[in-house]
Amino acid sequence: MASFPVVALEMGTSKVRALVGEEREDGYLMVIGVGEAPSRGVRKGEIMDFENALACAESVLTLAEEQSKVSINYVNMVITGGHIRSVINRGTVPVLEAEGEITEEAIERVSEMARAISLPNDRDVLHTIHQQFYVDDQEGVVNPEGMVGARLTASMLIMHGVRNRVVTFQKLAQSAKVDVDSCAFSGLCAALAVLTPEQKESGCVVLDLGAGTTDYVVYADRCIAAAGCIAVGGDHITNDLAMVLNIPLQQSEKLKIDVGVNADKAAFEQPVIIPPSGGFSGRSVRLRDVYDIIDARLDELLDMIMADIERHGLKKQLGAGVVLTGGGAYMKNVVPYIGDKWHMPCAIGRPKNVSGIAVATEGPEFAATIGMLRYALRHSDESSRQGLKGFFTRLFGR
Amino acid sequence: MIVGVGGAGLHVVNVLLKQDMDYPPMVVVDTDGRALEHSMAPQRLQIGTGVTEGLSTGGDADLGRRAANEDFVKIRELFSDTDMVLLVAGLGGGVGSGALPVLAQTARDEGALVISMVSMPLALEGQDRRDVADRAIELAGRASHTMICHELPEAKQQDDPDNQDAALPSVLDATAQLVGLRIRVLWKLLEQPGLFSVDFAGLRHVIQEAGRRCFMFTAEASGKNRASLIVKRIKQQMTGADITLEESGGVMLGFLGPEDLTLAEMELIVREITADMPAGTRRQIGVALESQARSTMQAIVLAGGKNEHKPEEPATPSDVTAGAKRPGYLKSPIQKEIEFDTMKGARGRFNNVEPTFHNGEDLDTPTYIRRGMKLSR
Repeated sequence: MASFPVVALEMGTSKVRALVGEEREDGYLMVIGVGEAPSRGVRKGEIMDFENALACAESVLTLAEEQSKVSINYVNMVITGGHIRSVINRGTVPVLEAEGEITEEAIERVSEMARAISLPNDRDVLHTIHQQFYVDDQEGVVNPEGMVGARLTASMLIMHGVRNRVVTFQKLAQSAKVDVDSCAFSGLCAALAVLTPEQKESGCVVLDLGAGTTDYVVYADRCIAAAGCIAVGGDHITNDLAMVLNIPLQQSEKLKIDVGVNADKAAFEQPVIIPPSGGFSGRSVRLRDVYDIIDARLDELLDMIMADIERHGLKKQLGAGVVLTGGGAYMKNVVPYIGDKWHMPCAIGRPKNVSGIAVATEGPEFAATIGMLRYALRHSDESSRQGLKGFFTRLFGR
Repeated sequence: MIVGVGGAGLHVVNVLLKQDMDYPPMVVVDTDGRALEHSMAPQRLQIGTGVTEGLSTGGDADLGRRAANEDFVKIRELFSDTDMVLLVAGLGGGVGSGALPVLAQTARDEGALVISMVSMPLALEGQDRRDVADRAIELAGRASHTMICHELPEAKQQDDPDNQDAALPSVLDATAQLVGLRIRVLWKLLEQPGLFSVDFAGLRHVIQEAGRRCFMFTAEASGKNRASLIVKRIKQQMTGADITLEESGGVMLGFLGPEDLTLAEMELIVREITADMPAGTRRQIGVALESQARSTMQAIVLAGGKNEHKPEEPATPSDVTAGAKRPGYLKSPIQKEIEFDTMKGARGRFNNVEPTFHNGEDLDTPTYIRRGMKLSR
């Protein structure tokens, strides 16, 4: 018997998507319904025009309902936005047992401490994810239960966001007559969909190049070592081209995907013809300029992300390199470009172990929504069995 | 709060404590237990006992970083409830280069305004230490709100020619004294409201205009001719460091003086020092008074190095001028360059959207425009 169907809803900057999926007995995720529509009213991952966004959400939910023959009452929302931050928090407790043996209770206490963080009034915790334990000076302990030591430290990655913006997403769903079961950060969802255990083990970055935001999640030593979101995405590249070359947005969108990036710009003096359309009379621009403009933007974005990775001292731990998801992965030459810039392997990440409707199971742009389905399936599973206790560990950790 | 980080930081804090002045809380942070014992600071934090076993890092910046990470919790406690943190360190070593970025980031995350004040290693310490220092400047510069980086005068550049033969301990001590003096004036300026105050935002602005690496000059003098003496000393230092303000992107002048400081004196100093600066350059002037200073007046000049961000003046192509000389010659029309200056701050489709700021730059404006790049002809 397949599991109960779950629904994931992603209000992206360029596309709004709803997926219905169920888990088969062999562990495969079966996508049975897809709704997709161009997004309106969302900028940089955040809702700017509630009415339009609501109309989009309603239409994709209807599409997904019709295809899957499931009536949708609950959704799981993928959220993103430049306001989402991560911080590493640690808690330490002395081990009080007679022989210094670490019990489940001590682990519970130290985790509680590492989870406790004081945030500004307007922020809420989105996720708390176990990283690793330290027993005295021993680093990288996976499960300290039964070990012996004098003090136990736990480190926890805490993701938090501005409460009102998260609530706006939930309110949107409620206005579309569905309840929100859970919310998850889109970077984590994408990682959940595309990574193999080997990649998590050897360390990698999942780079979700969305239209409005770029989300990243860094795995090192099988735990999430860093995560973040920068409110710069494919839309910015389109806008840059349109502004600097003075061409319409539709034309620059096409130019971005077809021409793409190239770090070696010197040799490209030939022109690119931009065809006329609706009032715009057509134009020719130099290929080199297009490369320059896109390169400047992408370079800056990658530098910002690498700065954060280096700040955590993680650059040397990324054996499996970069995994690209999101619509930005379709940009021409972006894979070798990032690989060369960061001197590490780079590949497009496609959702793993998924079957069902083909469009939704193959492309990197579906990674976050598919990941949300996985998240939701385990979520409902775990919460019915043993409550929420420690489930993030199992889900994101190992 | 003033925090001395690593060996050099400890030394500077000692020097500051010897001076008689009410300072904010002082803390020293190091891995080396013995060095900490010798510090006079009221609060001492030993980090990384697990990684270094209480010894020094031996100049290993990676060890310094790990030490700070190990005692992350203690560091965070240290910075809770602090509004402003001044981190003082010498770069090139283990704790100063490795732990400083972690400390800066932690303090910032705790909601404090963070100024890092670092000195570069001397040239004789070798290129590898300077490389380590450059790396630390990158990291700590990003983590702190503002960074002041000063090159210390080399022996040959000391303004006093007698110092050529000075014994090493006294030179090192003089160096620490110098840094101490700078901190003292800077802190007074930031802390004392009123008069001509330099606030944090003003300071940050000057440093940003100036680029990441600032030069700092200090002088003190007393007596009737104190103003002209100060001008003379600062100019000497500038010549020594091979700096002219002509190329500097911004400058801050700060005065710490007795209550009889006159406007004429300030005017003289400002006029003399900024004489060769271009008219449009940003300057900030701050004055703080100290009642017990008697007649000693102190001044600091904080100046940026070469402003590297300034777009180059486009050279006039020679064929255009040649063409102009021959009126009968028909030139093919040349596409005019789009004036990007008028587009500064332009955001296109993101016009009505909340801007995304990173290091003071609006990321919604195309990078191409922000970096002052030009379309090829």
